[in-house]
Amino acid sequence: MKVRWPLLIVGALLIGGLVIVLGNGFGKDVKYTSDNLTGRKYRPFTTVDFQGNEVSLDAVLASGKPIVLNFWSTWCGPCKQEHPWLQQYAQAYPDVAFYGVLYQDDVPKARRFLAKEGSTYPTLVDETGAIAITYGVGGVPETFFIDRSGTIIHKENGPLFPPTLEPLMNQLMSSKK
Amino acid sequence: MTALLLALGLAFGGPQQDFQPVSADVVERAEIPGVPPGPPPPADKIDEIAHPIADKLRCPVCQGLSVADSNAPTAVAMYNHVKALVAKGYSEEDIRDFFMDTYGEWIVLDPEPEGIHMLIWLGPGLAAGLGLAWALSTVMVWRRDPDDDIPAPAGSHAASDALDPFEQQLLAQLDAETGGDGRRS
Repeated sequence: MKVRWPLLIVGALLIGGLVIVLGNGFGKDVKYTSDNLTGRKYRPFTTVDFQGNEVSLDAVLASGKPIVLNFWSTWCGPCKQEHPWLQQYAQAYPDVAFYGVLYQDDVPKARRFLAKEGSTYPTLVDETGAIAITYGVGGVPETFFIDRSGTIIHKENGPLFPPTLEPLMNQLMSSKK
Repeated sequence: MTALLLALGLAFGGPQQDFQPVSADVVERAEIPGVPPGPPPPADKIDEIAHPIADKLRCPVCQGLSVADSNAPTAVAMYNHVKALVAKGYSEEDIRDFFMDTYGEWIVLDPEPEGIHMLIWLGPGLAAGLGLAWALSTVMVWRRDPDDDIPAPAGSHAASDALDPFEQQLLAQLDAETGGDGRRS
């Protein structure tokens, strides 16, 4: 039997291409692998924290502080895992503005959680979910690191621990306005 | 009793409403730069315009459901966001571009056939075309030489390639004597 090489090669390339495309995404949740905002300018917003204080990202950056913006909720297990580390790092880096953004959760419930587990930085209210949508949040926890120039240098999907936090904090601290 | 409930409320919940509700407007100014391209539609048309747009957006926390089809809080928030943008006069294209720009292309249920997605769109057609080409070429080969793929029986002339030179010489002599049909004339 004759082997039809051109057909075989084109077929193999086609199947190989499909296998690579599909295999690449296999086992990965695209909403956690897609990251469209890193390397781009922050998206400004103004809201209030649990104490009713107005918080504007424009104003925070104008003050010269880089920002850590952590989307979280009380029903999210990994958020609870990272919570003590974020609190510690917020205390250790007073020149970085840490903000939590409450995602799809009740403010009173979040207050109770923070009262029990500790709170060293403000949590912002996002009642309509508009802030989360503006930042393309598909689940929690998700954390954005915004340097002094207002560039999003990293988006972390999932809980944060010291090995990831440490270099990012150094990067934020060394950034220029 | 009321005093006890109030004390419990303060202890566990704190003041319930000491913050201002946040409207979508505070963040929308950053979402789509520039002025909306069109005038805001009439209020009773907003849902009618927003539904097909939300129907093409993937609910990020659901399995294969669109934002319009899901009751998940995230999907509801996204739907309301679409409506807020429609109410401001943004077009379907603007809103779709905003969501793709923010979340990535996975957020739309029908990604544009560009780049690597081209393979997904064209792959099945190409595979079908290749299959058809292979089937046609096979049929054409069979029609040209029906025995092409059938192994020649031992002893037939087609098997002469497997014979050594002496046997081939004998075969050639036999052919010369019989005229190729195996019978002496």
